[in-house]
Amino acid sequence: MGDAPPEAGEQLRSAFRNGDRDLAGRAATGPVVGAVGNAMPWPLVTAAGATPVLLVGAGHEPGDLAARHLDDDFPVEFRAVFEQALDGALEDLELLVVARGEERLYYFLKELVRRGDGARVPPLHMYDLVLHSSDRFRAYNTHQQRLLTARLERVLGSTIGQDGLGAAVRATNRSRQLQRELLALRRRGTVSGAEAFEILGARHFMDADGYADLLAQHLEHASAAHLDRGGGPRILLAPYRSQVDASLHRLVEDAGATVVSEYDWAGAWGVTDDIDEAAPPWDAVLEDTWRHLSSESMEPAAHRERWFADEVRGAHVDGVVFYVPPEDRAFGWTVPRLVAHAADGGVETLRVDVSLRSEEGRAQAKQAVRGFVAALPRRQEVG
Amino acid sequence: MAQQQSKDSDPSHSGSLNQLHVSQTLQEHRRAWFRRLREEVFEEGRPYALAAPVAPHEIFEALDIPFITDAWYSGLVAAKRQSAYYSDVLAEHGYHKGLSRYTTMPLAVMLDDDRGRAPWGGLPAPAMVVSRRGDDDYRAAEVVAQLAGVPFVSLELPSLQKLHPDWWRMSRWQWEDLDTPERIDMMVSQFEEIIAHAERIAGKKLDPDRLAELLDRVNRQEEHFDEVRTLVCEAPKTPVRMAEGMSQTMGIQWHRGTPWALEQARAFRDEVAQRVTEEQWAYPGERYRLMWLGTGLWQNLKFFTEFEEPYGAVFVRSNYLSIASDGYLRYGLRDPLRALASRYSSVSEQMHIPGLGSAWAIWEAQRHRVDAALAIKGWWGMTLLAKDLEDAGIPVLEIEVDSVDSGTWDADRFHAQVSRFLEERVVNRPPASERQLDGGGPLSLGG
Repeated sequence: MGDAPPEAGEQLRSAFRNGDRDLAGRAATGPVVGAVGNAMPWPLVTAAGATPVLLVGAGHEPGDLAARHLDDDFPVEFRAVFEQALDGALEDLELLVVARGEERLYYFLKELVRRGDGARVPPLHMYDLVLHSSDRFRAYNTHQQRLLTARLERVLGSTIGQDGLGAAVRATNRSRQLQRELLALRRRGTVSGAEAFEILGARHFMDADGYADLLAQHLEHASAAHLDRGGGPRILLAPYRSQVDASLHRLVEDAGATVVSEYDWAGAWGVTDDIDEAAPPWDAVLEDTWRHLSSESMEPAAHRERWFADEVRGAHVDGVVFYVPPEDRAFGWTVPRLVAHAADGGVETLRVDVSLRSEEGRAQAKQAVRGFVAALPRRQEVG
Repeated sequence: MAQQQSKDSDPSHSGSLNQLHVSQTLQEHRRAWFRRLREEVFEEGRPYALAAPVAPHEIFEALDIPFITDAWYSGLVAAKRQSAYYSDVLAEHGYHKGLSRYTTMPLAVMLDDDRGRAPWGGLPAPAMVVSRRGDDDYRAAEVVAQLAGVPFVSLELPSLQKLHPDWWRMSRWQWEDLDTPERIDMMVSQFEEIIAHAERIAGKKLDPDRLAELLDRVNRQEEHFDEVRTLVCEAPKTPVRMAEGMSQTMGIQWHRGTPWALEQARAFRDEVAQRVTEEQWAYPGERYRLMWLGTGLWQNLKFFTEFEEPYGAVFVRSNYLSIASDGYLRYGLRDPLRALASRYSSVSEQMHIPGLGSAWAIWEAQRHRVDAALAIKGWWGMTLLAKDLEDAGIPVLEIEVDSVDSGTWDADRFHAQVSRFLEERVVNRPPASERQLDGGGPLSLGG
């Protein structure tokens, strides 16, 4: 006990930082299915015999190919994946699945393929699961999951059976249970927010069992350690878009705070309840992906914002930092309402409205965050 | 020849943005309609629906529920030169300037404390709000619903898995194949929710026969628009300015399905046809034809006439008239709700989607004998669309301006930008009318 190898945590953080790099290396050990967007039935891919990997264009700086075809305001990850798909970097994928919310990428790639310019693009699939909680969408969503199931089976030459899917569900639930333990440690100040975010996010780039094993080792070590956070304020981060790295976390933590949570499906918001193991696995996976997986595409607003509203009422958050740069086109409509939720919970908020892509923006953001953190009272001691 | 010269020098042909008699009848109807709306909605408190342009207005029409389109109201604010002020109101309430203003003026007006400033005294709270998820500003509509404490329906648009570049050739009769049954089913299901709310507001049930009758009138109305488009395409010079055509089209579209709308569309077609017969051109000195891509420049429609005299460059084509027939027409109304659902499963998205938007724009450009295109920046898919038009031999200039926010308008800069573009890329070669366009046929993209 106590001194379990720290490498486990570093391996997880490294997996996050590496992101979707080295697909060829992964494919050498088994089939890989790439996914753009979070709203994916990950256990279904595992049960089909492939490793699912979230595609974020890690390490790829979009260039001329993206500039010639895509509008300036498409997110940088979108542009990067677009280019990678065209220039062959994703050739080792058995299938590239695009989840709803990112359908424009699907359309662009389909069109380039149609023109004969997409010879190296892997097979494409649009997984159009509607994340509105109303039962009106059951028939459509069931159809979408059936289409994806059939496509995975065809592409991978496998059959997704109940036993295999049940095992994948249990592996996912194991990961989630461990992630909830990590969140509890973070709230107690035992783990830094930036590190926790990277560890949480690593699940999208690893197979479920491998991820869970490493996380279990890391937790064993972390729970025996105590990280002195100096009693700094505890911050909930709310960025306009899911973050692909922990730079925003570091900016806040360098100011003397601890990020204990984030309204970001790659982080704390994405740690959802277990998939129902008592239900038939295929149905349970559909229900989980449809109604419980966190996403900016969730509707209605009350459904999407419930987690945030609960977080700011919890005793573990002293302040909220919103990141809403000028390039935001959608999140800004909900920020005033989220600010109101925070006010209801007695929590102060800061809005960082400069882009962190520029040095000047980062400098301005740092100054604003420092001032905010310095003035923020700590609401109550962690119990 | 003498008669022609007389027509060319007739001052009634030049200068004025509005040259058609139907523009006057439209204005008269608009005043009467809004007077009625104010009496019923503003003064008597009759419930109304606030809806996005791509919401199924026909349902409200069939239930006799007054409705206001958020884009129309935003255009009204822009026309009254108040969009910059209301854009600031939104910013003051935490909705930053990077967020779209195109349909969000109703929210701004509702948030503003200065009620006296708003067009027609402001906007009363609606009884329901309908928008479409995925449009950048649909969450503004959600805020309106929340402020008003009323039901909000945000239509979920099913993604396309199969893409048909020649979609407009299929949309009138082959819409089940084009839009696919499960997508249409999903839209029908959502429309049933809208109908449920609307029936509660109306206090009566939707009559499917009445809906079918409405849709039949819509079809006939859009056929008239199609005829106007053909007249513009085939006449030696355009009989109607694009801006006036846009106003006429949208003025009618907001009331589509009504007997008035059908009659007005017919009158529009008749007047344009007569102008062609009499060789009464919008600008007799027309030499070059321009198309406009993207949302309309509602804040400054006169801009579209500023290049006529110096260059003989006349705007002849916008999305509005063309999408009315290519996107809205659905024949086969045995199940009117299904036909309506098909339309809304992708209406206006086709203009953006890679491949679909380009194929249509190129076909349109060739039909209209266009020499160049101007586009509003920020229209998604525009980069690829502009590239494809350029590859098809049609120069494109993108202008960075908001459709309704007059705070983004810089008259001198835009005028200089367009003038330079025309001088460098358009007027230094023969007009398209006198030469063969590159690419030949309508679908000159690869694949």
